[in-house]
Amino acid sequence: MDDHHAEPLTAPLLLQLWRDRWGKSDSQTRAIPFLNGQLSLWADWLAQLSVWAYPGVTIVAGLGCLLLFSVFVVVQFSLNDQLMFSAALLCMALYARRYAGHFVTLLLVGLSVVVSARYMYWRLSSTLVQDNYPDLLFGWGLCLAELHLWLLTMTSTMRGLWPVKKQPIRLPKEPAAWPRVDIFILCKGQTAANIRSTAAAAQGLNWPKRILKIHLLDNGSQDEIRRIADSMAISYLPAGSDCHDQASLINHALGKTDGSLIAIIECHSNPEADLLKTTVGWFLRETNLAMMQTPGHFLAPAASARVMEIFEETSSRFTCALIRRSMLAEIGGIASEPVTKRSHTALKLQALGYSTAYLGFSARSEPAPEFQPASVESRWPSDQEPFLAYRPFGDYSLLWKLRLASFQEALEFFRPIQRLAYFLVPAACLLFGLQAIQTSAALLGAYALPHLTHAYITNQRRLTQHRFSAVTDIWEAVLASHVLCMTAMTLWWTELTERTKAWQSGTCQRPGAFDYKEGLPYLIIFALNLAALVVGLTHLLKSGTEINEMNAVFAVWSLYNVMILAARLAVAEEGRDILRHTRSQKRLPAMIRLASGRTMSCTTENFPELELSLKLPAPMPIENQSTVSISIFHNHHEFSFPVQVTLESDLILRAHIDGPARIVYESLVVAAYSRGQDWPKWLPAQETGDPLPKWLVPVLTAVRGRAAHFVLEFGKLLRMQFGRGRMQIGKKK
Amino acid sequence: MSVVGVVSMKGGVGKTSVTANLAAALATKLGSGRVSVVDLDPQNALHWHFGIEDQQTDGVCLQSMRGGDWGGVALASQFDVDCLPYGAASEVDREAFEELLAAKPDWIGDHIRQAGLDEDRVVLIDTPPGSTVYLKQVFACADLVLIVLLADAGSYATIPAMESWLDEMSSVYPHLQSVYVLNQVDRSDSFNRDVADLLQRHLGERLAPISIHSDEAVSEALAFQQPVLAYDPYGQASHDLARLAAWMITTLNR
Repeated sequence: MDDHHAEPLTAPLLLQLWRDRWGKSDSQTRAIPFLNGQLSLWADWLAQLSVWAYPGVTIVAGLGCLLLFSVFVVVQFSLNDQLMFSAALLCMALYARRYAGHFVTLLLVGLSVVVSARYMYWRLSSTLVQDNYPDLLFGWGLCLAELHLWLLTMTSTMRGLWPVKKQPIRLPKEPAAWPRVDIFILCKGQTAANIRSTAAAAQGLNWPKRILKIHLLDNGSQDEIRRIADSMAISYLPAGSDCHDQASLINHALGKTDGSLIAIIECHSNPEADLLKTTVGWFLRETNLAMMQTPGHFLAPAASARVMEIFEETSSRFTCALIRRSMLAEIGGIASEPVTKRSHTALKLQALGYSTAYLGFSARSEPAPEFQPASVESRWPSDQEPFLAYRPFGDYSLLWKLRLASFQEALEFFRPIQRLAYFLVPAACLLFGLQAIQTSAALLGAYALPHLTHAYITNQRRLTQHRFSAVTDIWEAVLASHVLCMTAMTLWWTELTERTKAWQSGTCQRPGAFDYKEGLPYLIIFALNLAALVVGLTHLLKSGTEINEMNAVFAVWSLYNVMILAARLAVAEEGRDILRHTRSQKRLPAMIRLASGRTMSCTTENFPELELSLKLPAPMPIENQSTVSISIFHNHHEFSFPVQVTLESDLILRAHIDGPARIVYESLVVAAYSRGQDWPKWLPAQETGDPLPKWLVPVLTAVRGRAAHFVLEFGKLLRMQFGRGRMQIGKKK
Repeated sequence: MSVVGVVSMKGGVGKTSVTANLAAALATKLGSGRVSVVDLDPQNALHWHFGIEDQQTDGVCLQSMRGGDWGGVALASQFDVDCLPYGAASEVDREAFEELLAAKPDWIGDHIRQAGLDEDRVVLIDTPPGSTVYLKQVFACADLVLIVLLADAGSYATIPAMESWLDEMSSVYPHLQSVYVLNQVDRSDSFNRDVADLLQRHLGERLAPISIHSDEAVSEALAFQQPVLAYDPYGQASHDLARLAAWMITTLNR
């Protein structure tokens, strides 16, 4: 059981498994349907006004808006006025958020920007501690963290506002116009089984064979790969043994091939048959397009054995990059700068005026990559079709957009520090008596609460198709403590050494199912917040009438932190449980019976697959390609069939299941997987997908019903009092 | 102390092997000094499984005739199992012993209790096949009786006789548990598989949840005078026996 302990689980995978476990179908939309009401009509009318066609109108309108904006941001209000102002904007947002349409989204974003900017201005202009050395430092620290978050939100909002949704482009009818494609399969550090299956998938690509060439890339240290290449009739391009990173492998292979397009595929991910048909069309139409990527990185992390181990469960994840050879050659091949190869390659291409594209898949086939904090994701997938969004903007010809994008990426890099700051502030204030904000609780509430609420509304509007914002918060909370170490390390190495091998040597860590040893910083933060909460509460209870309001604020803040952190613990626990469950389905007890009558008890490694791997407890005298009888045990049943086996290593036996054995095997697969949910309906976590607890729903419905009833009755009473003939309504009933 | 009888209605089902191997499996789980085996089969073959050479000391047969304590005939083995062999006995001695047993149905139970064994010991008794005086003695003193079967027609045919015997015994000893254990299962053999399925349907809950697979290692282990768990720890038979032992411990503790 312990071997599952430290194995990480990626967030999308966890979510997917969780949905499986509780029988929540993935097609079940998380989006709240928006209304098509009066507001949408007004928006359409406004957008289609003929005024916009006149020259200068947009500029004037823009200037007007800017003026209004700056007035709203800097104007000083008393507490009362500020409350009224915030309430008015909040009501607008709450009213507008129910309606569908891009205009409404823009309106919400606009309101949020105004309120946030106003909050930031107020924070900077009138709440900073002026003297008192430690408080000053601390106050500025918090303010910087807030400023950072604010800038991040603003830049990501701007980036995410105008997504480009595009369909795959049809290829020309006659295949003569289709480009030659070289497929590079990165084999370094991969097992033979992985290489074989990826190569087989590449051979199955839906593309004319005479213009498709598959190459296995490696530094030449494994003879096994050469054998695979020979047996599958594909080419093998060994680079010198001094090539350690993938960039140099690719660059080496560039010199040996001549197709006009290059597809770089990571070994453990199998491309779908239609990959080229759906992507190459863009290269034919957009002559400026240099590189197109599918989700995930193809260069980092390097596919070392350690990473393979981490990604074991996500092997269905497919990552690929298509690059136009001529343009790649122009920038001198894949950039080999450490850590940020991908960005560097993209940036170099963009510097020459070429564009890069990112091909996302619909949520159905591919969960959104979660390593990007969710609020930066600027993707709004359409229902089914793959869509294309140039990242970060459609066009790199404008330099300031590029700068903005890079600026945001840079900000993103430091996000964990900012996150941690938020987690530590209440503890610092309550436990160590530091003063971070010099203001009254009422003013802070009047400025900060609308700011937070608007941010929440906007964020929810943008992410509603993917997830609940609170869930994102939980994930980011833990990512922060994990990512901080990575950030620090990366910064250290990038600054001090030009090239680092450290990235490939397996130092990369993924946040996974919670590990108490690795999660020590997290536990410390948790304990600090808990202590702060206790101190805050005792202070509030003890001090009677002389309450320091700010302490109440910080107590609430630490309560929020504790909730978020505790939720993460719960997720980790459940994640481990789910992981164990999933693994147990792959590993079934099995038996091998040799012709001599000797047997060996073993376990399957990858159960429902036809190339079954069996893990032996000890080496076994067995000849390659010999036929043995194997049995697989499932519950109290035993399924026995003859197979041909190959010894992959001393302890791994590969069984090829074919012929009559396959019928038995498939019936076993059916038996193992057709049991439906094995999680009882009465287990406690069953309802966790619903935002409201089940017991609360009838109460709320009842209250709402009561209120509606009261209003109706009141209305009837009024009518009876003041109207004639209104009695008929009552009679009808 | 828990007493487990291993019986069968038919010979050649591997009963002695099951007794010895199960005892060894129990010993690996329970530790040294916790498991004893008593051989009540005049063939006197059980001790071979533990690498114990023919000794000069008498077995339980002669010791009983002499009125001595059974503790004196226990032989320690390197597999943490203490073995009480039947002993080399002449035909006359055997007949006299069987007469004695026929007269006193609790003889063996009493002697096991008097042998000075600890309270937490598990004692397995190997018996000769068929309904003999030994079988009656075992039913009189056992907490659990394992009935060894093969998945073949011969074993299947003996089930009615076994059932009526069990009915008779359960009226006398209502607390006795009896469980069928399938030995030498090979599901790649279609006849074996069919009979095993038939037995499973027929016996249902009374069949132990773990069957022992057929495995050459079992007979090879005897040739090397070892329990199969020591000879081939990764074989399926060893695996099954270990699980069966674990299941037996839970059953006995219940």
